[in-house]
Amino acid sequence: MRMQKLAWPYILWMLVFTIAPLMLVAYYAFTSYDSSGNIYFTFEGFKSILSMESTVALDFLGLNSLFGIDLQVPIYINVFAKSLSLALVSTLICLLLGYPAAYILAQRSRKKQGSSFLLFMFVLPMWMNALLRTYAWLALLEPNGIINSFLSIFNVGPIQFLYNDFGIGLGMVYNYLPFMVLPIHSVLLKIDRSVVEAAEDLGADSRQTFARVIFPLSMPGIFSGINMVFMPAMTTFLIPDLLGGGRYLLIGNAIERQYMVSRDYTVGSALSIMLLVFVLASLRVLTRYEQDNSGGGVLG
Amino acid sequence: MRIRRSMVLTVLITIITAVLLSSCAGGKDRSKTLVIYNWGEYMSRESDTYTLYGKDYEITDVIEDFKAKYPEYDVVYSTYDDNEKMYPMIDKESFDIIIPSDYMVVRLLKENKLQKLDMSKLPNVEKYMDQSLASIRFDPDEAISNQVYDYAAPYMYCTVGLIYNRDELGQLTDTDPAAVWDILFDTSWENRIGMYNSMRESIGASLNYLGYSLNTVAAAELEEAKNLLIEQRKSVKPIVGIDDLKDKYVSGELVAGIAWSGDHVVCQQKLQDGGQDPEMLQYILPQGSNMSIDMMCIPENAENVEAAHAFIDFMYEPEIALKNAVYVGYSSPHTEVKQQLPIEITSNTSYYPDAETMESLELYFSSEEIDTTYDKIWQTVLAN
Repeated sequence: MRMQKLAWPYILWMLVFTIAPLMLVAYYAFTSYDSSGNIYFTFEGFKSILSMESTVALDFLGLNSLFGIDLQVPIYINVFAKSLSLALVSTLICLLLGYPAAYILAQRSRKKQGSSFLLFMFVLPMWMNALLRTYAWLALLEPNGIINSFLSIFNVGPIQFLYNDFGIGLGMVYNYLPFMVLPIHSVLLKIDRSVVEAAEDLGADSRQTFARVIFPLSMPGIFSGINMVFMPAMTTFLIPDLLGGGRYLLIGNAIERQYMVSRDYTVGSALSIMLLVFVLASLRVLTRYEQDNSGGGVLG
Repeated sequence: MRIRRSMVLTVLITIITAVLLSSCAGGKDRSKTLVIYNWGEYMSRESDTYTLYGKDYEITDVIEDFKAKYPEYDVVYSTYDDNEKMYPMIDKESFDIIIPSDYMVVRLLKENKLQKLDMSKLPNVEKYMDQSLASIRFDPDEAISNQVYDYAAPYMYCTVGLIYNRDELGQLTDTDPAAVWDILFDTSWENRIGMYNSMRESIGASLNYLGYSLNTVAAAELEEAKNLLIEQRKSVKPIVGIDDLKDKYVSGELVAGIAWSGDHVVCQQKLQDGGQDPEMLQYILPQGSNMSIDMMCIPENAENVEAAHAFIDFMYEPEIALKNAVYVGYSSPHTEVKQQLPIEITSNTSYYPDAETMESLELYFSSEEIDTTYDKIWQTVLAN
């Protein structure tokens, strides 16, 4: 009973700063003003997002730019698809880089081999403002920057690192990698040592132990890692603005533009709702998996 | 690397100042505070000596000068980098001075968002304003066009042309827009062209290149301009920015791009500071391109109209106007300043257009139709 009372401040906080703004966004998404300033209910926002009036070639995972397929879709669908493909690829790279890192970290923690220092090194950059961290990449990667100057010693380059998918992807992986490593690390740490010993006793070699015991048990960490990387990667507008040379319009920039520049609250809110529904749907899929897996995790 | 480091530092300082200032403004008496909202890097805020064509000019922080003359006022200064970003902000906050471009002044005027200037409080403006600017057409509607100077005092003006690296492109002399802008669409300069992240300049250059009016609403002409820009994004891959582009022209990373004439002067200054030949970067103004005047205005919801008038008049004091014009590098609407600047600058028709050049230039007009069609086109271009 006592604990429930303690939750009230947070519930209040959520009502004021989460639920109320969401209601406002929903309200704006379905209303507009006529010429005499009266509010009316409308689907205009969603209609204009999906309108085929102005279309571009869909570029989901390089469909147009790499494979040359010309599939005309409404402009916001393409903006959405581009954000989604960048976020998916960045999340995948984070996972491929982050899992081994988390695994090594966890092993070191068990053996007490300076893992806290390594962990510290992972978290250290996060103490700095994301804007400055991203600015630093500009200095490193620009055509006359540090990396290209170094490469020019060997007569390589200058390589165009910036203002393309590579630059943005790199920025995202760099900024979000810790969010992948930390949850996986903490789940790996919690795996009962005796489970691994049991697998070994029953004759599993180290590869089998990993593939059939450790990896499945670490699934909840992977899912929350994906959760924590994919969502911000999908919605960021700072990274594409800086590392994309200003020529990338991703879903985050598009929403910002609707509110700040076009002043079309209806379309801006409709876009936000669309993004929100998508994020909620993918969250649901992920938590479903997570629950299934923690069910399987009773094994230990 | 020096440039980059200074940039990071600037960002840091700006953030810290913004936080400090905003916390100050909350606690202080609003009637003693002057709130200015200006373009970034568009007012002399430092002490330095600038050398233009062999002449030395002392620069000081003009806001500090203002505070020295009017110690009763505190000044809160913040910046934007796009007219369209400034526009929504003036409804959310109360500013005493804004400095929008001409078409935005007209839009604000039509929407009754500006206060009439009290000319009796602006003797310097009456005395020194360049009368050759008086005949400019701001709007197709003459009645509105004639009202503009009742609500706004010219701050600086500039033209939109091509900044280019002479070492790589040679000296350009042909002012035919089709010849000048051709460089922007030349695929051999992939990743090395600069474009402003600004709707009217981008679409405008494209229209001017194709030989159309900068204010056209003809669907076919706009469609052509739009497709040209989309094609450019895919094949030429221009770098899009505003203030950050200048460092890239100076370092040689970018070979050419759309530029306001004033940005060219700033780039030359940066070259000189770095010990390089300032003539490396040249500027050419194509016929029929855009001229724009940024103007000091007092928004309808300004809370310190008294201080705002004092500030506008202060900016027209010859000494202050000169410092500011030297620092900013745009063309000054101040007759006395024009006398003081080097003849090399004031006789260059790319900076101070003569009657004939002036005739060919267009201002950006603003109307409901233009605003929404151009915004739609720009969204589509960005989404590609």
